[in-house]
Amino acid sequence: MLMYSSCKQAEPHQDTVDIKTDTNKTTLVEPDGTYKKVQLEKDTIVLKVMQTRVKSLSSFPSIEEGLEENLSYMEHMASQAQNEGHKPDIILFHEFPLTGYSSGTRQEKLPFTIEVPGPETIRIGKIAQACDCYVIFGSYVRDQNWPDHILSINTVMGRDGKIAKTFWKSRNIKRIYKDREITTTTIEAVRDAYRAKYGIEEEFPVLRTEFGNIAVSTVQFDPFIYAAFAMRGTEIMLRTATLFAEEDVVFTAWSNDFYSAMANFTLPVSTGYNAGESVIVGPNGDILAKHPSKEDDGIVEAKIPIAAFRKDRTIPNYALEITKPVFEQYKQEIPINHLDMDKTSLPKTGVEMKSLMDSISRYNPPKTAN
Amino acid sequence: MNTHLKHFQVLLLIFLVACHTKTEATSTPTPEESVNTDRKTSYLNAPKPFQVWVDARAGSGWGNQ
Repeated sequence: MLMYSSCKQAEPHQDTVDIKTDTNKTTLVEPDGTYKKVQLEKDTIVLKVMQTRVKSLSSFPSIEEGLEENLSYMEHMASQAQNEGHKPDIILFHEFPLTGYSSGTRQEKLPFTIEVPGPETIRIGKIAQACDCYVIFGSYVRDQNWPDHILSINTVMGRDGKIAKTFWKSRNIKRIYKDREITTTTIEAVRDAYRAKYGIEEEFPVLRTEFGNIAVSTVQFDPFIYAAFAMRGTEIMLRTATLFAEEDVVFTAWSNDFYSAMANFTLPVSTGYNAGESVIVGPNGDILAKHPSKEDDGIVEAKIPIAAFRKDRTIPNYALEITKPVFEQYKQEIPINHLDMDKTSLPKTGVEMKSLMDSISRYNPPKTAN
Repeated sequence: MNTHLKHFQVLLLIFLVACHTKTEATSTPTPEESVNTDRKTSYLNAPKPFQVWVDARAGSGWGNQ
């Protein structure tokens, strides 16, 4: 099995595991509260969060033109990050700086995705090489191993310009829409097939770098997901968003004892959305940096004293034993593996996705948006 | 007399058009336009779930503002 998370510049998911990994034979969490890490290169690192606008590929005359403009803008912003303030060690873009958002059916949305690896990761890898830092960005992704699935993936480009790691989205928020559900494929949606292909360690992966243990996620309002990342040894929890709640980021960092950041996109205030206001927060819930604008692009940065933070640190002290009897009886509404099906059966729209979820709901009645 | 009547009719028409325009500008939003009070949507700082908004603007060139 490939141990991607311990290999700084490994190509993720380039090989497959033929059999499911047995949970009992794999150490996911050390019993004494310690966690794996690699030697730090410096005591303090600089994290920069890129708050940028969205230009959806679907709004350009051609996909190529859209990708070119969006890549150029990422290069421009990264150059600004290099030349202003402190030299960055990690640059974090938001959820969809390359593709933006698209509408329509699954087949109509699929063209507005990228491949990882692909021409775009090569280009963004050059940004990482130029600034000698990790560059992280989210994107809609298509993958021939997952035909017709639309994946939501955060990719980490290493300082050598190669892919250091990819982070699939763990799960989607549900019952937020009255008439639809999110159709992207997450780990939860194909968990068994994902585990068979990549291994159980990759369900909550951690990239152990010379700047600290990092993980990346687009999940929101989901305390168990972040507790799992913390148990796995995450020290810096990087998050990408399509809108977010500051309270979620602050409390998630505070309750899981890790540094965290949220890269949000911008929208004109006239749209009615309160976008922007990207943040970097500390493990005690302090906001270390925050972009002042909802609609202006820009960069926020903070220094993270990773060596001091790591010294004598163990993973958080959760109330698992006392809550376990309750958790063991709890059934989540929608079973995992709900998109593990032939590609012709995949829900084509959000409305079809909602129909699927309603049909397999364990709750009576099925949950609805408020 | 006829001239006065025509002037009155024109003024009345302008008054009615002005009233109609003002009414439109300050009318109460329809439920679809109003602020969504859904708990999670509100936490996301959103007047409505984002994909709904994106879909409503599909083909309008949104994304290039």
